[in-house]
Amino acid sequence: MQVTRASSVGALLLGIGLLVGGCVSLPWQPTAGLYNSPAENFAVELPQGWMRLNSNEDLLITRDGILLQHVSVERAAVDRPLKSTKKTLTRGMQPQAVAEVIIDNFMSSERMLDVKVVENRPVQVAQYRGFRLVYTHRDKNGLRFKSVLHGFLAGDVLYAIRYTAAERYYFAKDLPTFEQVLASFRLIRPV
Amino acid sequence: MTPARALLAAVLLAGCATTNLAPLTGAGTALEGDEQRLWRRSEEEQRALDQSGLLYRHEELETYLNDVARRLQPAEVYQRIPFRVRVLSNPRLNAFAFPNGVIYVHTGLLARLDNEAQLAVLLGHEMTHATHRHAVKEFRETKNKRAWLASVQTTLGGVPGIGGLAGVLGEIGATAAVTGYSRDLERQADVEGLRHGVAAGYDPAEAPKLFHVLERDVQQEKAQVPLFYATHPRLQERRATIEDMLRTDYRDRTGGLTNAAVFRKKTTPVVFDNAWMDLKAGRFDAAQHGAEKYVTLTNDARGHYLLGEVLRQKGERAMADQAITHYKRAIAVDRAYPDPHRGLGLLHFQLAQKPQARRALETYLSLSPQASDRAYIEDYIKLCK
Repeated sequence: MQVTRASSVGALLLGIGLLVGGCVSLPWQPTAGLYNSPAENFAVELPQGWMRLNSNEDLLITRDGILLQHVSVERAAVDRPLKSTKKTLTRGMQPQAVAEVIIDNFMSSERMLDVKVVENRPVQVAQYRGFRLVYTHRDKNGLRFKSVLHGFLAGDVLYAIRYTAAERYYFAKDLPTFEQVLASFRLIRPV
Repeated sequence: MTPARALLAAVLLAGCATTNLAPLTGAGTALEGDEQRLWRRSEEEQRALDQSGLLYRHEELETYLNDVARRLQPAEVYQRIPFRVRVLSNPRLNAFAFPNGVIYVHTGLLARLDNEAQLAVLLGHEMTHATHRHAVKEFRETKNKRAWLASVQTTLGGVPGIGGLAGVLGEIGATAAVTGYSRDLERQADVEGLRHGVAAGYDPAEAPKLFHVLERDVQQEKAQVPLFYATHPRLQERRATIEDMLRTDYRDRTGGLTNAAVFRKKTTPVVFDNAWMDLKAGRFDAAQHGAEKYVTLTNDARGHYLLGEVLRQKGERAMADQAITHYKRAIAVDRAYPDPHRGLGLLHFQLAQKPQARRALETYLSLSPQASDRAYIEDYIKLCK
């Protein structure tokens, strides 16, 4: 599948994301059960009691506010330049190589300080060969975040399902919810 | 009051003050009110910078840089301005000084210098910004302080590729590091920087080479970032000023200290670490330049492995043989070093040479059974069967 539109997914993936875009005035909606997006070719079960923000058809949910915790489903064409590294993704790349580019992008980011990779290993994501990254970083105010990112290439598209939360207290609290969201993720039309 | 508002209040209060300020090198000069506030604000910004995780922590290197700096100014100036040189992990070619004399040099710039004479000119330049009170002069010359603050913040917000600095620097740091100073103030810093270097016994002929390094980087990276040196369109003009000084003021001065050997010894780790940073940022040409320099300096296994990685990750078929050569040299230097086997295996895999890939990757795992990427490598090995 060819993705031609620049997506906010990429922006999130590049480490800028909505964390710093808190003033975005897009409508928030309560989450409820199945989220189905044929346009973006994925479906996922969302937890009750969270709020959803769709930005350019990409998905972000939070319960207490995006600075405290959020789960995102991010999607970007492989030929889309990354924000902080000139390295590129290509169709058919092995999961290890994709993960390496994503990590290098984070480590070269202007806004993610003191990035540390805690875990990087291959996993199956929605039956695709992918990778799992666990990493921490600080923002410019010194607040430390922890993230889990599961990613995979499906044809020309990179999908990333990510959970980011304040490392203290919030990360552990909502990790099981993320794992449920992740387990429910599937592509509507397999690539 | 937020820091930005406090700074704004400080600069507004200084609206009509003179910009005709004597250097802080002379007796009887004292910091003025708004300048004192700038110094305090500088200290706040430095604390944020120092806690950001961006500092390149290497005590021996920092001691060396400060020793060189100390030779450039008399002790009485140090009593007025307690200069301190620190290093930031950032592959961009840059350096900047806060008004209170704290100087930050990027690893990217240090890694590109060849000797102590070039370093002395660089530090002399930065020290001049502090001794000649360029920050407060720039504030006072700005007619519209609100617009100035807005422009600094806008510039900073829109600057890509300055590493983690963008999120950390405040207005003062941004002025020094990102927007630089006016043409006249930069020229004064160039001239005084060279003068201090020469007075300390360094070879003036090294000064223009600093500008050559910067010009090469601008061309190589097609830099559009308005960093202190990098994209000032005046780079060539500034080099011409220095070359003119060599032909006139210093025409009888030949030779001088370069201390190239000690400089190389102290900065070699920076060359290595910075080349890795360039590689992560996908600045392949800069990374290759750094890796080749490191290999020339050390001929050690880590350097050959790094160079192999740069060449492999460039992804150009024509580079594959060179990459293999460097991986093999790394292995020849240190047979127990696992990483070159990994690089070799991944490269053979990319080249669809599966038996060679499998052999190299299995050797990697045998040398590093606890490798953090073991699961990935086992996947590759399965794909080679």
